[in-house]
Amino acid sequence: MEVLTVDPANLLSPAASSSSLSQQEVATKIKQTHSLTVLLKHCSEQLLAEYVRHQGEPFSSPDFQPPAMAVPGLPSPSVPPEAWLALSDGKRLWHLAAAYAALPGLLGSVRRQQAELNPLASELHRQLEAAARQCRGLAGNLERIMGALGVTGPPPPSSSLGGPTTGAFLAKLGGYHVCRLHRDWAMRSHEALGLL
Amino acid sequence: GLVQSCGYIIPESPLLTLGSNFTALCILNESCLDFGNIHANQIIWKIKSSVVPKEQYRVINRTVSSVTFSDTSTLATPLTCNVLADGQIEQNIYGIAVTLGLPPEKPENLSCVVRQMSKNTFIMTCTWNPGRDTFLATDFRLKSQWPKETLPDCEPQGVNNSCEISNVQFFVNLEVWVEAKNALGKAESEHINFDPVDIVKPLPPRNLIVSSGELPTVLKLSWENQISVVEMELKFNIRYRISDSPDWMEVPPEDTASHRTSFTVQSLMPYTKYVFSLRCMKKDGLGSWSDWSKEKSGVTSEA
Repeated sequence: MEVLTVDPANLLSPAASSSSLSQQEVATKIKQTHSLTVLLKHCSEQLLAEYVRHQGEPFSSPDFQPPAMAVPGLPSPSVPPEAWLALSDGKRLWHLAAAYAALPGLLGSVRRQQAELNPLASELHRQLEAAARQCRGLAGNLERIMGALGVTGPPPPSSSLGGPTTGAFLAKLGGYHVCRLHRDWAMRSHEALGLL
Repeated sequence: GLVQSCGYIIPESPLLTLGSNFTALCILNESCLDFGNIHANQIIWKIKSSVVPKEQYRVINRTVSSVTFSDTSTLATPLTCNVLADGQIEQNIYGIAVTLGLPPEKPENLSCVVRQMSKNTFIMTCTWNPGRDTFLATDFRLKSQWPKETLPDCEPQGVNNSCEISNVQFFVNLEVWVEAKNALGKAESEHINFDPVDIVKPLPPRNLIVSSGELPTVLKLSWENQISVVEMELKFNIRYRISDSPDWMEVPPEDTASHRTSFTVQSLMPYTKYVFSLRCMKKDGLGSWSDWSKEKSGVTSEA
């Protein structure tokens, strides 16, 4: 497990220094949140595999790689890696906060859909519920860090996953894209927290 | 109804704090006064069948008598108002049920432990001292919240001093406290704040394998950790004994203070059967040691 050492001195903007968290607390919170992104990255990969395993064809065939699809309300991590690295810490955190404000609701929708489409897939349901909880936890941690660094957060999300009449395949495909974006954002958040 | 009561008591069915003072009033109906030629000074107060000392009475007027208890601990159910009418026949006018109890005390010594139940399942058990008996139905709730999100209450099951939470989230600080509430009051414990990952008792390592090496004084141990490294890195205690001896020896803790899935025990006696067992905990020393693993034996090679 990577060891993250954080020097809060070069992170805190003057506006932030009066925030409720001391520099040491900010460093501790960043370290804690980095550990959360390590966990999230690990679990999101497991979730995507578990999800695909339960959807049947064509999802479970090895060469099933549908093109990325936007999910309403969920920003996609489309900023190219070089540009992502060039962003400021605050800007990266802002993008993460926007994603993790939307993901819990989307993962909750996927869990409800899967409870109907795959009622016996209890491990998948457990992982979807855990993923939503982890995302809510990460959103809270990010908000604390951003508050301490003087970064304003994004507006609340307006995400919802498709209307009730999307049909089984489209529902499964929508859920697949949510799980894939969840995995992609987990990797981005792990990388971003490692840069703080 | 057929029979009209000759009076009543207020308050009707009081809930009283033990040790407090209490006054009740018995109020006679005018209609009965004339009929029975009754006066409030003929009222006799009783607790169950025992007469309340007259010093505690006060005749307010012709129809009202009061009784006062400086300490409700002597009270019981029923408290009755009776009249000694003509011909010295004691008549019961009215009776009330009295409920006595205490407000809850502040729950103390709140502490929590997260126990790993399986690879992916963790249960957090919080325990506390509920305080004195209140003699009343008292509701305890374990409350918890994240900095920006209130989490569902945990309702103790059949007890009043512990509760189990299943949705444990590592790496997010949790604030936990206990609320106790009954008809006489409400109390709240101190709030404690922690990251659940720091109070874990992990499952012990499993699938321990002991294999002899080229050297006759060495045995290699390998095992499987049941908690994922993304959740925590571990440190270990390894103990061993000669199979027919009860005395355990322990590998110096500093030698097993880092995350691993194997260890080579040295300075053993050749061609000897040893029994091994190990336990683990979070590498930084936060949380609790796991139970000891199942024992596994192995034999060093010949010299």
